[in-house]
Amino acid sequence: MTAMTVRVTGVEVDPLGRDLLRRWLVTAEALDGGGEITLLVHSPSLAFRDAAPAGRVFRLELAEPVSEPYAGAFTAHPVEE
Amino acid sequence: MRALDRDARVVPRAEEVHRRAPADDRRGLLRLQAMAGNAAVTALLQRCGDEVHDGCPCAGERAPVVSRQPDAGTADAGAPKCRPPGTRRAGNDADSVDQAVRDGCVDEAFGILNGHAIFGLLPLLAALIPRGSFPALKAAAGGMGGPRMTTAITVAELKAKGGTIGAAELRPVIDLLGVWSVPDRRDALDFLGKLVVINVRGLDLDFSYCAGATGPGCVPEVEKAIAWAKKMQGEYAACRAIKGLKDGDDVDNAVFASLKKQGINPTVAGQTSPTGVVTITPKPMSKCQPILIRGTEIHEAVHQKTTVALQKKFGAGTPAFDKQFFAPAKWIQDDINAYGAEIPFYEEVLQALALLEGKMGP
Ligand SMILES: [Zn+2]
Repeated sequence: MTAMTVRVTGVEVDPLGRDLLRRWLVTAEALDGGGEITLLVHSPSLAFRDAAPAGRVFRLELAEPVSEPYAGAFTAHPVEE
Repeated sequence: MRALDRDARVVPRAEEVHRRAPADDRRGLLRLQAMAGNAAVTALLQRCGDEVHDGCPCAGERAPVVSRQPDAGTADAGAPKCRPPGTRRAGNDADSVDQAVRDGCVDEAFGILNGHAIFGLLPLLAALIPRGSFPALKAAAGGMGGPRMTTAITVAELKAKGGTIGAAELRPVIDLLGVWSVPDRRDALDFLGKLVVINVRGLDLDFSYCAGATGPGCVPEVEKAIAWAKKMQGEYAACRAIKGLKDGDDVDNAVFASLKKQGINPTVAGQTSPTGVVTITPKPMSKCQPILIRGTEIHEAVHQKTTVALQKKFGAGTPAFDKQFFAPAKWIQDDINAYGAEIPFYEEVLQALALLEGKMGP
């Protein structure tokens, strides 16, 4: 499992349409120096438990090895700033 | 979220962005005169033909060999006639491009053309069509401007033909416009006088979504999207019968497992290697993509609404919120609703596409 604190910087429908179930591409900046991570998700609202996750900070726990983009399971917990 | 629309009035037109010609607009012979003196210019101007007369500036010189300017595509990049990048000739863009092509300065000509947005490029090309340099320009367009330029030329030529543009003339253009951005498509249709727009839930549909001469319109893709949404509603509904699902993740995993069992891989572009690295298969802008994007946004709006409602009721991040949020029954129903919201949108799109087909003309 990989854990990281990120700020969500972008939420858009994946312009490449790579996955019929995970149609959203979320871009996030790793705040602990890990660069940028992109996640394919079914629903930004459901994945982040937040109707507007852009700009907010979350603690991510990725169940599978980090990939580009990451399309595996993960949990996101909001981090109070 | 990327807006599908843009306000053309906000975008600075490329023509406005272009710098004006420098104050020193002496060209050709005048410039040579300044550099080399009158004698050189007189020598150029006063050719003597086959006969050489005493006193003639070209006495002692062989008669000049008249030759064509280098063909377009063999631009003499180093030739002094050609303006280096970032500098330009006097006059308007049509004159500059025309003269550059005549001088064999194809790089320079396409430097100007390629710098234009579609809404500026199309009238510029239209102004160039009657010029003598146009055939050379057109011949070099594929190599120097790519498919964007060749398509723009096709559009400009169709307009230049004059008369009413009917479906027969428009459909081959529609085939070409599919890879363009939505604003560029709209600018091209507007330029042709064929911009008819039907708005479906915030999405402007125009003829670029209709069938081309060879390529299909968006009807098959939209029908596919409806079928997929209905299938997914069924997949989620089937989860109600599965015992032991603890939360939303379990529901999603069950749906995924069911699809896998049916041999359906939802990952349509991109392969995951054993090391977990996903290789992206780049694909060009699909002409129906904006419809699918809007459908996805409509789906997400349902999840957003549910999320906000639960936050209001239980407070964001509270245990009571999480309990309701992840409850399998709620998770299942929310996706049935979300896919259900996509379907009427796609159906309205199909109706709009049928209407557009009827408006395209003979
Ligand atoms: Zn959903």
